Amino acid sequence: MSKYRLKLIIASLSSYERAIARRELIRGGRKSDTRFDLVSSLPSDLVYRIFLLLRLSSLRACRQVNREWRQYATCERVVGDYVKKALTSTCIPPDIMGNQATFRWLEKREWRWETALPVFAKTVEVRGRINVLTTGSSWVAASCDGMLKAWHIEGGTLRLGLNIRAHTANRIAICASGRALIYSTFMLEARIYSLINGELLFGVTSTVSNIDHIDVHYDLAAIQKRNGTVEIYRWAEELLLVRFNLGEIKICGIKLCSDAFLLVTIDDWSVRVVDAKSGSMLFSWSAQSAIVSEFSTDGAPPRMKAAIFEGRPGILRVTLYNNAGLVSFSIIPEKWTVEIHNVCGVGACRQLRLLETHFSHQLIANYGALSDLSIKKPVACGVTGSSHSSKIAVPGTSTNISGTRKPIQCLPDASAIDDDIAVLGFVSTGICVLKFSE
Amino acid sequence: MTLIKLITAEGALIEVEQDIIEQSGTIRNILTDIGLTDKPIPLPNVSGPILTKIIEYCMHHRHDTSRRRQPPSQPALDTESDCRESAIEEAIAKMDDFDHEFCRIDQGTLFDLLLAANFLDIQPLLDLTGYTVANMMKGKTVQEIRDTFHVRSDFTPEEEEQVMKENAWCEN
Repeated sequence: MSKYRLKLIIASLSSYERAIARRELIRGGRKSDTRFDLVSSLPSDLVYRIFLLLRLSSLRACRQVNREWRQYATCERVVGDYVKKALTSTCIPPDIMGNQATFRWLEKREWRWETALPVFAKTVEVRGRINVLTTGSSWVAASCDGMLKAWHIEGGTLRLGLNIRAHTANRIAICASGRALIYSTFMLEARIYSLINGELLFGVTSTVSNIDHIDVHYDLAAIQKRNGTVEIYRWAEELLLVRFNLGEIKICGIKLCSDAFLLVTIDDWSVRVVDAKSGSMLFSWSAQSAIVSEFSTDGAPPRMKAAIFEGRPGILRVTLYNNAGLVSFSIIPEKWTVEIHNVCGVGACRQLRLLETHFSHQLIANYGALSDLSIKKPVACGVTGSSHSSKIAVPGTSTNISGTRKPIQCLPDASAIDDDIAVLGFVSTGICVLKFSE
Repeated sequence: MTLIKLITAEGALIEVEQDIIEQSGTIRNILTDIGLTDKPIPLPNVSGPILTKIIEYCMHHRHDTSRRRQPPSQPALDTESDCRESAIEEAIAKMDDFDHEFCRIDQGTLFDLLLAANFLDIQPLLDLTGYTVANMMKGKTVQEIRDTFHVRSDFTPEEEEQVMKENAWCEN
C-alpha cells in the first residue's frame, strides 16, 4: 500500500480509530510486541492535557525526545497555557515579549529554583535582631536595630533605598506598585513611606488598641486592630473610607487584593472576603475540612498569601499555611465558589518545616534525618517548587540553597519569599538575598 | 434500580446500574436524548475488559458526587483551561488508594483506558489516567523518557545540535 493511500485511509478514521491505527503502525504490526509510543499514539488533545500537567523541567526533557514530542512540547497551546498560568502572580520583565520568550524566561527561573542556583546571592550585614523581613516587587524590607531599611534589587546589586530610624516594626508590607511600603509598630502606629524618596506619606495612630495587621494596595491602606476594628484609608488624601468591626474573632492576617476585596484570615483556617468599600462580609469559607487528612493545623496559626488573578478578573488566589503545610485555593467571586488547588503537608515526616510559601515555591527547613530526632538545628534550608500539584512535587526533595551551595546550618531568624526572590535573615551574618529570575 | 444495557466492541452485553454509568457524560447525554431505554447502547470503541475496568472505577466512585462534572452551564470562554487545570489538581488531591492501585497497569491498558475515558467523557478518570502518564515522565532524563515510552530520537544531526544549543544553559 502506498504511503499516500495509507494517509488517506487514516484521515478518514475517527479520532479513536486513528489512535488505534497509529499505535498499530508504531508497533510495526508485530502483534506480540507490546511496546509502542503511547504518547505519539494518543489524540493530540489528550497529549496537550498530559503535557500541561508537567513541571517545566519535565517539559524540557520531553522537548528533547524526538521530533513529534518536540512539536507537542513547544506548541503555542502548551506554552501559552503555562504563560497564562504564571501571569497570575508574577511580573514578567517588560523586555520579554511574546509567549515563547516569556516561557523561556519562566523555564529558566523555575530551573533556578529547582536546582537552587540563584542568579545572585548577596548578603547585607545588619546589626541586631531582625524583627520583620518581607519581600515583594523587587524590594526587600527589614526592621532591625531601631532602623527600617529597604533595598531595591537592580540587576545584580542591592541598592539601599530606604534607611530611616524607626520604632521596631510589628509588620511590614510592600505595595504591589513597588513605590511605597506600610509598616506598623508596637507603639500603636502605622506609617506609609515612599520607596522613591523615603518620604513619610501617611501616618495613623491607634488610640485604643494594638495594630495587629496592615496592608497597602496602591492608594488604599488597611489597618486592623486587636479589638477587631478594621479601617480602610485612601491614604494620599488622608481619608478614612470605612471603619467596621469584625467582632470577637482571632484574626491572623489581612490582605487588600484589589480596591474591592479585603481578605481576612482567622485562626480556625477560614477566610472571609470583605467588601473594601462598605465593610460588609461577602463570603466566608473554612479550609479546615480540606486539610484534615493532610496535616495538622493545631500548631502555628495560619498565615496567608493572596493575590488577584490578573488574567481573569475577580479570581482570588489564596494560600493558607503554617509550618506543617499549606492549602491553596481560588475563590471565584462571580459565583462565590471555591476551587481547591493543592493541599500539602510537609511536616508529616517530622523533619521538615515550612517556613514560607509563595504560590509555586516553598521555603523549607530540614531538621535532619528521621533517625536522629535529637538534632534540634535544621541541617538544611531549601526551596522547593510545587507549581502544579502536591503529588507531582512532594517537597521531600528540597535542595540546599546559599550562594555557595552549602547547606545553611541554622534556621533563619526571619525569612520571606516571592516568585523571584528568597530572603533569609540571620542574626549572625545578616540578610541573605537570593534572586532566581534573570 | 434501573439497569442500562451496553454492548462492547466484541458484541458482548454488559448490564450496569444507571447511576454508576451516568458518570459518563456520553452515556448521560444519550439517556437524556432518547430517554430511558431497554435497547442496548453500542460502544464500538470500548472492549469488554476495558469496559469492566471502567465500571469498576465508576462503582468505587459512585457516591462521589463532587467528582461528577457539572453540566456546562454556559460555553467556557478563555477560562476553560484554568477550570480544567483546577479540575485536574482537584482530582489529584482527591486520589485515594483505589485510584493509585487502579493505575498500576501496563501501557497498553493505560492507553485503552485513556481513549475510552475520553470517548465516554468521564473527566475524573481522564484526569487520573492523564496524571498517570505525566507521572511516568516526571523527573526523568531525556534518555529515560525514550526508554519508558519506547521512542527513538529522529533528529537530524543539525536538529540535534539545535536542541543541544537551546538547552545549553541548564547543562553545566
